[in-house]
Amino acid sequence: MVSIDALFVELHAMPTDERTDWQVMYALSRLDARPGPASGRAPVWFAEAVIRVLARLATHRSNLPVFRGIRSLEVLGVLMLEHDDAYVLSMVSALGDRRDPQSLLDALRGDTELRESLLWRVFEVEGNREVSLTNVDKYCSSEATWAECFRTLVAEGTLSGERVLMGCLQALGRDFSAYRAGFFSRLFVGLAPSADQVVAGQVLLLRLLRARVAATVAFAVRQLAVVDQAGALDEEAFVAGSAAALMVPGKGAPIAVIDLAARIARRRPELARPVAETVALGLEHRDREVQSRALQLLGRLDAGDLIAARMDLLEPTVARAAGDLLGTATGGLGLGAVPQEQGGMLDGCELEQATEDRSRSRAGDDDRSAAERAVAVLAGDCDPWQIELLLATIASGAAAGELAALAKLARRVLRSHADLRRSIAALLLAEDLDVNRNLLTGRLAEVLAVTKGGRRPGLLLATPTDPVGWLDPLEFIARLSTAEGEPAHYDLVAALLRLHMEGRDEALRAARDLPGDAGAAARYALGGPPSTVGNPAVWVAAARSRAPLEDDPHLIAAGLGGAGQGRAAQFELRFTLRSEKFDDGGSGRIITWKEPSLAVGPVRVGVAADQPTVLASRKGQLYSPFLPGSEWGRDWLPWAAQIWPHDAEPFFAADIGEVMSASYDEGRHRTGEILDVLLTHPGRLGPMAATVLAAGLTTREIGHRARAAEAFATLLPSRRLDTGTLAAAMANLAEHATATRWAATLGASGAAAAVVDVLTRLLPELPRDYPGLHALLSTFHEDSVRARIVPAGDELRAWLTGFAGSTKATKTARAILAEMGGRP
Amino acid sequence: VSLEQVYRYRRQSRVDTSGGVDLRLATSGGPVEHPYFFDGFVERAEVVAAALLVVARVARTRFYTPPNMLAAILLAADPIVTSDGARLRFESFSACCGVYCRLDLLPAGLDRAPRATGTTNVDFNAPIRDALAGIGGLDPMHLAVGADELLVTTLDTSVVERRVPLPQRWVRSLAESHVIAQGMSPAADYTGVQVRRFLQAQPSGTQRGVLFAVPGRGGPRLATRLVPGGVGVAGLERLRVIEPLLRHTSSVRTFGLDTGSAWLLQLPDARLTVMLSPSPSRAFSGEGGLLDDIALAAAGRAGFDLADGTSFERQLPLDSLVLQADQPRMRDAVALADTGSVTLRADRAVVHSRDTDYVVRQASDGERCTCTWFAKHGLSRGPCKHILAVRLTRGRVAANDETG
Repeated sequence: MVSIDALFVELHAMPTDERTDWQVMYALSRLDARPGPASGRAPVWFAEAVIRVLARLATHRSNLPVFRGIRSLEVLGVLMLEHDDAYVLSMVSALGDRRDPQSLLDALRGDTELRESLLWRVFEVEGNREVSLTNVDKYCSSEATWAECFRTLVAEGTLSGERVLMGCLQALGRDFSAYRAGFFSRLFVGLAPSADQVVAGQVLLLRLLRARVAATVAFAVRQLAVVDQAGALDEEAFVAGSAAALMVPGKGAPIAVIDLAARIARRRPELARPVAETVALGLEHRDREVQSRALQLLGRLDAGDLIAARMDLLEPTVARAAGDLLGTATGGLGLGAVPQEQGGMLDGCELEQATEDRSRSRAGDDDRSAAERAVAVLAGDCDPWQIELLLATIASGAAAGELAALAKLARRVLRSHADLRRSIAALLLAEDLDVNRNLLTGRLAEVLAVTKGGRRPGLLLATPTDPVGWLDPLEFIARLSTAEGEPAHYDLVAALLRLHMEGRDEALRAARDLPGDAGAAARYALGGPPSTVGNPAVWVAAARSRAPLEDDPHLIAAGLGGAGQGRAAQFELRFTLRSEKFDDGGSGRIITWKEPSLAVGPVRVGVAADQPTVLASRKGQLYSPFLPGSEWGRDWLPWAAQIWPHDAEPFFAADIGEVMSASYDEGRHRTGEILDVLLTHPGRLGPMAATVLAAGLTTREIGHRARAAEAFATLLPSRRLDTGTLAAAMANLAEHATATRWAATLGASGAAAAVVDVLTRLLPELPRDYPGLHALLSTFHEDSVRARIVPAGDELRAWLTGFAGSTKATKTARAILAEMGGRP
Repeated sequence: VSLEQVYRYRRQSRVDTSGGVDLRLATSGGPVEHPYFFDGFVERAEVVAAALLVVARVARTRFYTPPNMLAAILLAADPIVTSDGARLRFESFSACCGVYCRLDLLPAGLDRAPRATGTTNVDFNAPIRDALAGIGGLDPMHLAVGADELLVTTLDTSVVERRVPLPQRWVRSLAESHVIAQGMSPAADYTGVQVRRFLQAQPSGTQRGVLFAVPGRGGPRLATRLVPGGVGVAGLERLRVIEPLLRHTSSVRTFGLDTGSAWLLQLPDARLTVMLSPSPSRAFSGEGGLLDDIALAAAGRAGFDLADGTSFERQLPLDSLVLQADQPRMRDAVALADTGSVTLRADRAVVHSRDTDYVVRQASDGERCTCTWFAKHGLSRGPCKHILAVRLTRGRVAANDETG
């Protein structure tokens, strides 16, 4: 520690350019706790530096008690400072040491002006992202926080408890953010005020019922309940002022308001109508429990007119109860009652349109010039149709001059990007591709051979004839017939995998005389006779095209019997319970986790770049719930999804880990594109697609869940995805999923009948103590009433009957049983 | 590029709630140094206070921070108020220039007509915001925008001066918002309750990418594709600014353009419009709407009222240097045209720029260019500089032909 004079000498001795604000701050933090007077005035440069330090402390948290030194100099008259917002925030930031509780306490105990006057400004100045009471406390040890300091000083009588309590309530009434306002409600509660002290704050608490921050409203309602218990509630003011509190997002505060209003109505019958008019706003709340509680009270208050005016806002079960209460024959089903067969989010023809729209290029894109198309791809357009058309143009050698003009742009892309467009840029520049070999990069390499002059320009076999990726068989045979020399290997494999099922007979006839292994494989793919298996990858592609989802005896006999080759691949997501004991200093802890793995069967074989239907099994990493995803970058995904239009299973199986991870981590950048494929893939959607959808329904990010909800509402009612398959996938993922997210996303899908169908199968698979089960039960109940479906099924009934106790889940289970005609 | 805007208020804005609500807003700049637009009562103190808070909140919020921005280099620009002699319009722009907000106090809600016309800046300091947050009840509120010169001399007149580095794009955004609003189409009508439920149903946090608010059962719902009646909501968290007002809102009308949207709230004797740019990272300034009509590119001197589909005049009360902000794309296009970089041919034009030839041609859906800007945005954010240069050159050729 140093004296004031020593501090000045020390700083003065520094070269001017080294005497930074940091040096001044550090020196101030080492000033004696109670320094003696200075022998002279502060140098001008020092006063200016302190102003800068205050400005910095006001916006950056400090680990050092710098403000204490500044304050000492001010008290001694060495500095004259303006007590503005920056001064106040500097005090919040750096009066105490973040690890030493005593420093903050001593600073306030020993400084009367600070304690009696300046301190109270902290209740008026909100602060900023870095410096606020909330945020400074967050980074202090629990004993050294401002909150603890206030509690200690109030307890010992150094500060007036009443004044701190009122300061908190006044601060909560300001336009502070939720994060920063939280300090004051916590401090108020932490001071454990007596009933009289809470009553003294009633006027301010009533004002807080209109606060913008939901947590503040909830706090106010709780405290007003204390006032009520003390018999001191201004009932008229509460009834008049509590409307806003019924509209906050959570259900706790609105229910507490309704309960308090009910007590008021009981003891003050003359207030029944104003109470009813306020409580009726509870029917506008989105939570069923709030609506239900409001309805019960309104029924008691004989306020049928207020209920009738809001019937269309009620959740189905509440609407039905309201109908019973009002004696209306309609028993209105409230919000969005839908007939059983109607779809959800996308109605009518929109359901069918969705898949088509998603897969089509933007309007007008097909008349792009070669250069316009190439620039679009270089700019990041990942539309597979555009990529295929561009490859076809490059391979044909047409527009070479037009594309050559893009060399500068291509070079820039080659330098700056690491994704699909980088490979396209390399292609345009005839430079080698430095990417892992797979079917798509293999195709790019073959086109590169054309631009480098190694192959003659010509037609590509695999260019689809449909934007979703199909290749017309007759067109394929026509291209193959006109090809000069041996077809490019990856191009041929890609083309075989894309052959549409329609038009095969005619194409087979046209392929009768095609020569060589390619001709034989093409005929086999189109349903022709078996012949000698030549190139394995070509014949695997032919077999997977011939009967995509069935085993192929001819290939099995030829020794290509692996999953995804001669045998149809089966994929399964498994979870294995793992535990590990580790030594953390003697006690020894055991951690357990569910390790996911992807099992591929029935016969595993090694993967190969030219056999995209073959997938490797994979396991999660050690101590991690994450399953590795595929190597497809985000922009490659739409193109990769079109490799095998017959079956989406290998594509989804490869990236289940990515979508599962999106439940924990918002930074999953490929999840959206993977979920999009649920609606664009034209082929089979099986257990892996169902698993991806089940995982998508519980993702963290709002956009991912919106995609999953749309996929659910589109695929289930149209039977593109089987209900039982999805239910099984959800049951398998149950321990991974967050049930409340499942419930919310399913509810938001609007496909009530499909939701009931899936949950009828899923619920009996879940343990009765499954976290968040109540939310799923509630969604099931509401959607069954909404879709006018009476829940059914012996398994479901038995499962519902097994609930015991008085939990919310139990109550809802009994209500559903009652719907089923069972014993509630 | 930022230019310094100096706000000089004769005194701080104040609110007194001791005997009813008395809000006195200080003014700076405009038709006179400290305009005096209104002194009277407005209906529904609670609603007006909540709406003014929304305007002020937008003005001081940065909804998007570029990844490489180390600190908030931009201070909040003060809201502006425009009086047309019948109504008062309070406008603000977010610090990121991606959210526009306007409160219209309608004639029916004012007990008298404004006493002067014009546009001025108004001071919304922290104590004012704190006080407004606590105002409740159905009573009218006394509102003064500016003050009587004679009265001011008898009061505390400590001048408040704030210097704000106002980026050129702030002014350009204000100007663009007019053109963008004009191009918006009405989409759907909802009740305040429906929109409140919609917002409350969404998890907090930042939404990435573009989603759409489309009509669903019982109000809007989120979708990943646009259907009739839907509008884009990139950065849904930006829309949450309207949440405190929804309990006073009878109806909400949505308007859409590209992935941007406007939300028009009908309040008692007032309206509030919030406009969201097509993406949180996109300020309105870059939308290029003004590039299609160069004559309009004059410093945001017009606003657009979506409620009745009409423009209103405003002369921004900003320093002259700030007002001279022009569009960089137009600047580049003029340079290309001036340097003879454009070669016109029968079916196309070639623009030579930095060693590269860009081909501009006319297609059925408009002009096209082979630059990356066009590849990314098409014409949705206005034409690229190459198309602009071609237009300018064609215009000059046509003018030369006419003059002989």
